[in-house]
Parts: sequence; structure tokens; C-alpha cells
Amino acid sequence: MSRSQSISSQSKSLKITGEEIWKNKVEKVNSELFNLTYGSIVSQLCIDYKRDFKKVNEQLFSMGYNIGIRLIEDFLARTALPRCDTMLRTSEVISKCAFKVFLNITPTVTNWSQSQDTFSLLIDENPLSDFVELPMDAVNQLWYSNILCGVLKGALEMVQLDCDVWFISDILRGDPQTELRIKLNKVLKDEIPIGED
Amino acid sequence: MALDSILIINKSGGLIYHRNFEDPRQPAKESDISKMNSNDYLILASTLHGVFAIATQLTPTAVQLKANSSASGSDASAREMDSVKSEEYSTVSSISNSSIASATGGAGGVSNTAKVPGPGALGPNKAAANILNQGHRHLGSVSSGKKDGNNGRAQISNLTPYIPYVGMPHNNIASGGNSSANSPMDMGSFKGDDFFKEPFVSWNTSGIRHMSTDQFTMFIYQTMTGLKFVAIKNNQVVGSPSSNTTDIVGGIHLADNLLRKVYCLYSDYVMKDPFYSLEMPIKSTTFDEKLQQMIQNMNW
Repeated sequence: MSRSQSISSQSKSLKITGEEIWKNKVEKVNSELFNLTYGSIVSQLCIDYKRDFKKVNEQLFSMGYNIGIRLIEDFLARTALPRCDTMLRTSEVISKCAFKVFLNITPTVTNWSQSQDTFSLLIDENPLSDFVELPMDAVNQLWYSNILCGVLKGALEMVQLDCDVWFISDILRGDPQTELRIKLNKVLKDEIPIGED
Repeated sequence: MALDSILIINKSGGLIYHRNFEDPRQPAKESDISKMNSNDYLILASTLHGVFAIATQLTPTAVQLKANSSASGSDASAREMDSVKSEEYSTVSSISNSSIASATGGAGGVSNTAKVPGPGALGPNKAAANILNQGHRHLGSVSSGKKDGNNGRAQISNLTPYIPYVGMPHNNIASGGNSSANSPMDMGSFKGDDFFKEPFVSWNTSGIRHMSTDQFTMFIYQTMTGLKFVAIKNNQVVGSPSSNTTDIVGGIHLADNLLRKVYCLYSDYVMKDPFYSLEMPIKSTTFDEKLQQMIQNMNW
């Protein structure tokens, strides 16, 4: 009982941390600017790759990865959160702090695997996909927000969590919800900076 | 300003940035540090990286025993250690005054600090002053606690108090943090008149944090991604308080505050530069300028 209590109180304070940082410590821009810029990138990629949406997905993922490995520094400098001891904690930090600070949304964490190493993020209001309707030929192939998977993969890797990140459903494809899955492969123990106990 | 140099070392031990700062109070005086060339700095950086690694492997037996006994949580000191440990996993904002007190653990300091109401309960002006006082009191209790030598390590390593406006424009302090007064410092992607306002947990728990000689003092701040920020402070500047044992912990906290802000600058002006390749030397004039500004504001 005390364990679940302490986890809930921790996640509550994480929520407060995330909200306070977002509110008082982060400069804001109009989200439309952000989401239209992303839209123009994706549509240009579709043209460049001649509507080969598999390649577009890959390209978005690698772009996201390159963002993630840099964005983690911003996140850590801003929050100075201590290292996560469990994946449970990691999921809370991602949804309540990271998504809040950078996208101002709080995805729901759900669908834990038995071994507590895989979970889903339900993204209710995906700010990337406002105003978007996928063309007929893209509906079953393109993961429009695939850049998010790359960002998460890159950022987690920089804090020594080797994860797989992928979409399993997207409202844009006609699914009831947008679900992003994160699976921890392993903790890269050798790469944890020495000096941390 | 008595800060000589800032160095940034990447996670593989290579020097990616170093900068010496001229002291206006000591113009045109060749200090020893300015005689080093960039190759010397590269060697210094990788040596530091190595020494840092060695230092983490050497832990006093007393601390090892304490860490073991804290698992059972039998005696009072073990419980104290435990609370410090658990703090590692609580968020920064949840660390209240009372936990600061428990982290300091000094017998004299605890009661004093615990009575101070939370900063949220006061107006912004009072709060800033209060935090400042509290910071001093906190530092005082730590150094007194350190004299009995038992839990000095645990105290230093975990919680860094927020020291208001380190490296920020001075008029901010005069106006009590009122941001409507002209704020000349451009904060990049950060909002407000200071980069952060909460005490924070240091990621560097068992490496070198501080090195002192009669010539200079060195402070190391390591991030979770393995980046090291190093500040070298000159002890020989006229008018700067000489370093003595009582303000070592205060110096570390001050340096951690400053270096976390340098990290904030790094995350803005280096990480967001599309032409910067990771792990490579930093050649950003904006970063240079911001850093210079911050060091100039720093009244050590």
C-alpha cells in the first residue's frame, strides 16, 4: 500500500513540476506555427520520396532521433530531474513533464506489459495532426507523427535507456485513438556516466 | 569576478569548449593558466575525466558501511541516509524545506531551517529574500555538520539549494526579482528572470565535485548525459574572499548553480544550432557572448 501511495504522490508532484515549468519557465509560440511547419516538412518529404511512405516514415523517424538526442539536454537542463529507477517512473516523466513542457499535452500511460517494460502513450490531442487529413494512398502506410517516435528513441538513448518506439494506431488512419508504444530493450549500464551511484 | 575558466568535456573525455575570462581588476597580468595552449587543455580535460573515474571507485569504508546499513534502516543515521536516497527519486519541487534540513543533517541547522515557511507562502519579494537567507543558513549548517565529519559526503552530494540570481543581472536582486524592471539578459527559450527557481538534485554523487589548491579552485558539474562542466576560480584575485574550509560547501553550491545555468545556455545555443555536430568542439559566438555575460554578472 505504501508503495502505491508513494508512487501516486510522486507522480502528482511530477505533474506539478511539469506544469510549473511549462507555465513559468518556457517561452511560448503559437502552436499553429509549429504544426504548419511540421505539415510542410511531411508533405515535402512525401513529394521527395515519390509517395513511398515507408521511406517517409523512416526519414521522419531519423529526423526525430536527431532532435531527441539534442532535446534531452534541454529537458534535463530545465527540469534537473533525477535518474528514473523504474520504467514506471520513466513513463510518468515522459507524459507529465516532457510532453507537457514541449507540446503542452499530457498523454495517458496505459497498457503495461506483464514485465513492466513496455507501455503505451495515448495521445488524445496530437498537436502535430491538427488540420490534417491523410490522402487515400497514405492512409494505410504513413505514420504522420512518426517524428515523435524518433524523438523519444533518441532522448531515451541519451539517458542510457535503449528502447523501441513505434505507433500502433493513429486517429488520422481512422483508428479510435492515437497510441504510441515504448518498449525498453535494456538499460545500457556501461554507458551510465560514472559518478552516479 | 574571479572566475578564470569554463571548460566543457564531452562524455568520452574530450574537451569541446574552453574559455578564459579576463579579470578587469587585474588587467594585463599573465596568470599561469593563460600560458597553457589548447593542446595542454585537451590533456587537462582527459586527465580530469580519468581522475574523475578513479575517484568514483574510491569510497571511504565508513560511507560504504553506511550505504549498506541504510538498506536495513536500523539506526538513526542510516535512516537519514535513506531519506537522502529516496530524495533522489522525488521531484525537485517536492523537496521541501524540511527535507533540505534532513539533507543537511547538521544538528544545529535542522530546527532553524525547518521553521522557515515555504517560499510559496510569501510574496515574491519576500520569498526571494527568504530563500537567500535560508540558503545561507543552509550553507552554515552544512559546514558545521561537516566538521564532525560523519555525513559530510551525503550532505554535499545530493541536494543543491537554489541560490537566487547567480550570474544574473544585479538589478534583478535590487528589485527583488521584479521582471518588469528592465531585464537586459535575454533568456533564450527560458522564461522569467532566472533559469530555475527550485533546489535541485546533483547527478554527480560519487565523482569529484571540487578541487582546491592555493592558486585556484575547481568545480565539476556532471549531467545525466555524461557531459562535464568545469569552472576554475582564481583564488589570488585582490578583494575576493580567500577560500577557507567553511565556505567550501557554499562554493560548491554556488558553482553548481552557475554551472547548471551554463548547461541551460549550452542546451539553448549549442544543442539548437543545426550546424553543430555532437561531441565536437563548440564554435558558437552567441554561446560565447551569453557565457561572458553570465560570468561578468557573477559576483564571486
